[in-house]
Amino acid sequence: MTKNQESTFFSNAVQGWTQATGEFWRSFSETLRGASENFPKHAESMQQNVAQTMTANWDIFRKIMENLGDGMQKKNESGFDPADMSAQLEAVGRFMQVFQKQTDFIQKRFMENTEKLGEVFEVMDSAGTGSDLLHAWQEIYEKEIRKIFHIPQVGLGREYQERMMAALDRFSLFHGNAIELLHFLYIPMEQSFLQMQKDLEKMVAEGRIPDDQEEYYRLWLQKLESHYMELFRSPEYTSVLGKTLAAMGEFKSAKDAIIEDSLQSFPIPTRSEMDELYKEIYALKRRIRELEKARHPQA
Amino acid sequence: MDMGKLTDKFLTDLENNTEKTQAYLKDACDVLLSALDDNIASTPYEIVWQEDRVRLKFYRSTAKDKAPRKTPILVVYALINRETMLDLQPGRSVVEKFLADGMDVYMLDWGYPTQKDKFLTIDDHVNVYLDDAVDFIREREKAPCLNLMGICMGGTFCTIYAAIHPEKVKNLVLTVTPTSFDHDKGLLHVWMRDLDADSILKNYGNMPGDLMNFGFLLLNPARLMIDKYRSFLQNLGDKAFVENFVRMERWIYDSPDVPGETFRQFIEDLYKKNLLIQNKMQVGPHLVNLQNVTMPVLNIYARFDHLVPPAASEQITSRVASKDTKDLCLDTGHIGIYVSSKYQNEFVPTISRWLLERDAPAETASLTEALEQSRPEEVTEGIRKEKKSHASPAGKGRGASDKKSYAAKSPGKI
Repeated sequence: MTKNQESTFFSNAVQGWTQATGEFWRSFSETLRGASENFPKHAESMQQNVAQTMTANWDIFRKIMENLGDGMQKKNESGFDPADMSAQLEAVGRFMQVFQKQTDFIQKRFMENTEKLGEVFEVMDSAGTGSDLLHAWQEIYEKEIRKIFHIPQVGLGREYQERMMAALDRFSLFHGNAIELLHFLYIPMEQSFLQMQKDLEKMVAEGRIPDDQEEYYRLWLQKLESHYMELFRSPEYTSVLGKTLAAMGEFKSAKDAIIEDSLQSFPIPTRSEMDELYKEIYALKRRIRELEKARHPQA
Repeated sequence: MDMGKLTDKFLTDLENNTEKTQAYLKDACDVLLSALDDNIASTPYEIVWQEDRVRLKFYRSTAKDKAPRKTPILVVYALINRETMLDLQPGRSVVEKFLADGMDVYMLDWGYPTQKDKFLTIDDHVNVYLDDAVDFIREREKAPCLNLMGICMGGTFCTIYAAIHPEKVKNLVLTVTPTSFDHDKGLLHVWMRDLDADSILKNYGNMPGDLMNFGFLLLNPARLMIDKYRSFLQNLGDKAFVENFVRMERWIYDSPDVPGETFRQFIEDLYKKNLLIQNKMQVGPHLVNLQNVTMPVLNIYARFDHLVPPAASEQITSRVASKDTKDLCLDTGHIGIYVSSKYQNEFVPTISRWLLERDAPAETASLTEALEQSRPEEVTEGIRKEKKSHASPAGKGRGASDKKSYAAKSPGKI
């Protein structure tokens, strides 16, 4: 085989591979575009499309391998056994089929969750309030996403991984609660501005505009204060406030645990170690005081 | 008039005020770049006793025309914020006014709790630190008992102390002291029911001062996070205002953490279970019984107090066994009582006179002479109400005091 012949074989193989790869990505990008256009309303059809596309993509991938195989067969004229190559390709094909079945299952689970995520966006699109959206998100987090952080960890780094995952989980929970609290705190601001706007329109219509611009500010501040006072006494707000504080504390503890892990390699005591010491000192001091009192009752 | 005209009016006003604005900016720069006197707690004192982080400050009266008091007074501040509030600045200082009236003052400084202190209970604060400080003063002054004045949470501690050690307390003065918690009058009382105090203790150790301050700001964000700073910006050219404002800021955000176990017990036993007023609160080995409070009690609280509303303070005098109790309600807020010149001039002489009436000066003068010496002209019309009758306003209105005072201009937390 001349160098030119070798070059032709290689060029053909690369050309075939390039065409097939191009087809693969074109098809994949079309799928994504379709998905983004239709999401979230057609999550179900999207799931089917993706499934079909993935199947087609595996076919394309198989073709790539076959092209390469053809090339290799040609190359084999100078030493390789075509039958061996064919068997290897068949094995690869079978492996891919098994792999596809497995990924189909994972993909199905993923798409089910995607559908639920779609519901959150539907709430956003529909007349649902901000609270509905946040609750929908918190629900899907608790039911679906949170499980990921609780997948059992194994091996030497198991405990560290677990603490890392716990911190991510606690952060997500805190974040969700904090956003809801901030949302609550924003409502009086929005309401007071809306009410102020209406009042201004009415005042303009009636021709009674305050000369002093301070008056506008005072009017708005009164409205804002009254909206806040109303909000702060509501059970919804107090509940979210309590949950946010608790979630923040839980996140702090999870974060501290990771920091303590990293401190183990440094020659300094950790908070937990110091806490044990503090507790002992506290108990000792109480004990000494009792003993002193028993010895000198007049003191 | 349409909205266009409204906009036009706004812009015209803006144009007309250009010179004024420039003058304001110049004044503001001059003030901010000048040396500001924003020191707090400048009255001289000495530390006469210390146990762990807790110190006892002693302020000696130098008033020459006053007869010395027979019974020393110990002022117990809350664990939240610092006792420096009682000595904010010369001329606006509760401590200074007590000293001018011939009273030596002992004041407990709780210090800054660290993680080491997170196991400390209310029992430790009341029956160890406070009791040891009281014993120290009794020995130092050769007095069998002393006058105890509590402020806010410090008042709650004093009430508990007086119920456990009545023999060591001659008179009990409570100011803006929460003792009753079973109501929805203050937002804190509403919010605390949903607070998981165990979780705070577990996750933070101590209750962080910054977190508490954030909670206090949330009690009235419109006033405390917007209006207050707008007022500051408007008065940047006024040096006295800026100095007062910065002093208050320094005090407000000087917030030690609260020892975790004490905080937990305060929330659970008081805010959630309201045990103190029902005589069911357990402090260490002692069951606190308010029927043991037999000494005279003066109870001062503030009508516009959003942290400790009157409903939290006014019941105590009817629950103690003492026959000599008085309530005084002032028309101000939680802090205004101590930092507003107007209310300082009312409430300090009232306390001083009330104590003097129950404690003739040591052998040098008769009670009548001593009362005359005690600047009766500064004492307002006196005690507003007697036991079991509720208070009447003591002032004309909130914020009507000293024109320059930030406290008067910034109701809300103040």
